[in-house]
Amino acid sequence: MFIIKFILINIYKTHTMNSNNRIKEGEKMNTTNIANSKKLSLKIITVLNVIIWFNILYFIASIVLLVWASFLPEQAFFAEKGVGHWSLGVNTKGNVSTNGNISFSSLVPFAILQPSFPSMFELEAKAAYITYFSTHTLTSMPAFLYGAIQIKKILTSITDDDTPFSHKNVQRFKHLAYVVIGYALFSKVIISIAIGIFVTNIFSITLTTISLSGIVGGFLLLIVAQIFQYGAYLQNEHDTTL
Amino acid sequence: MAIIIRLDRVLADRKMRLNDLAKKVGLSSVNLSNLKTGKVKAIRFSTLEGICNAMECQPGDILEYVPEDKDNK
Repeated sequence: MFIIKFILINIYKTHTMNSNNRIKEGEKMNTTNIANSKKLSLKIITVLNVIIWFNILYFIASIVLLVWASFLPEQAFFAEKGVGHWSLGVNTKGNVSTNGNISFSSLVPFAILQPSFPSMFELEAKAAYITYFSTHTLTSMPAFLYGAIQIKKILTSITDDDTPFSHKNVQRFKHLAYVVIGYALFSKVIISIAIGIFVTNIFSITLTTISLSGIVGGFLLLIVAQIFQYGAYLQNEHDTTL
Repeated sequence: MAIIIRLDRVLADRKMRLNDLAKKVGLSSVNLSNLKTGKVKAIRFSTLEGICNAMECQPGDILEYVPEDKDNK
């Protein structure tokens, strides 16, 4: 008991000391701090650029894969039922039985593609795979790219402009929040509707298709946007004071 | 604004140019001309102190309060 108490007190002490130091550092915010944060944002922009280009390449590769898969015969596709998801995929040589081929597969949760599907399902593996993969790519990729570009613009405003507290950045944070909330609400719903139309003819939308953490993240971004709006107001006050 | 900056009047009295004042106070002449034309919302005490020190005057010589006509509002 004493040991736990000792550890807790120490954690509390170090935490309060750190926060005090941080406040002191915040008061001493000077040009070197600003230069350091600009350097850090430049590094993050470089990483973001790599991620954005990797995603664009992945997007192109996915479309090529989709076009190529749509010309393959029905036998090239497979669907296996797992514990909580389907494993849908396609084999490179157009034959499932041969080993040593490269195969592309994606995991589809039961919430989207029902496990109680009739045994005729194997005949529709192609439709299921192409529908899932295309809708998944078309919903997630543009949302991710748009969000990444917004973050990149915000970081660029830190490095290039005098201040990040501008109304443009408020709008960017708001757009980012709307994309995150929209993606959390609708992405899986769109996929399950597409699968319902093209594959199963069963429409089922459960609460698990809505990502609660995504919605919480989106609302946090909206709060950040409000804080930036206040920051933009304070920046204007500061700029018009001589 | 009900507060009017009379910087040009004091400058004329002292026969001083805006650029000279800017150099003495350590402000840019663009900022100082913004102050003169009333484009500035607020002024720091340190800036006011610098201007008063450079022109050897009181803050009351630079700033003037004119009550706004309520009918015109």
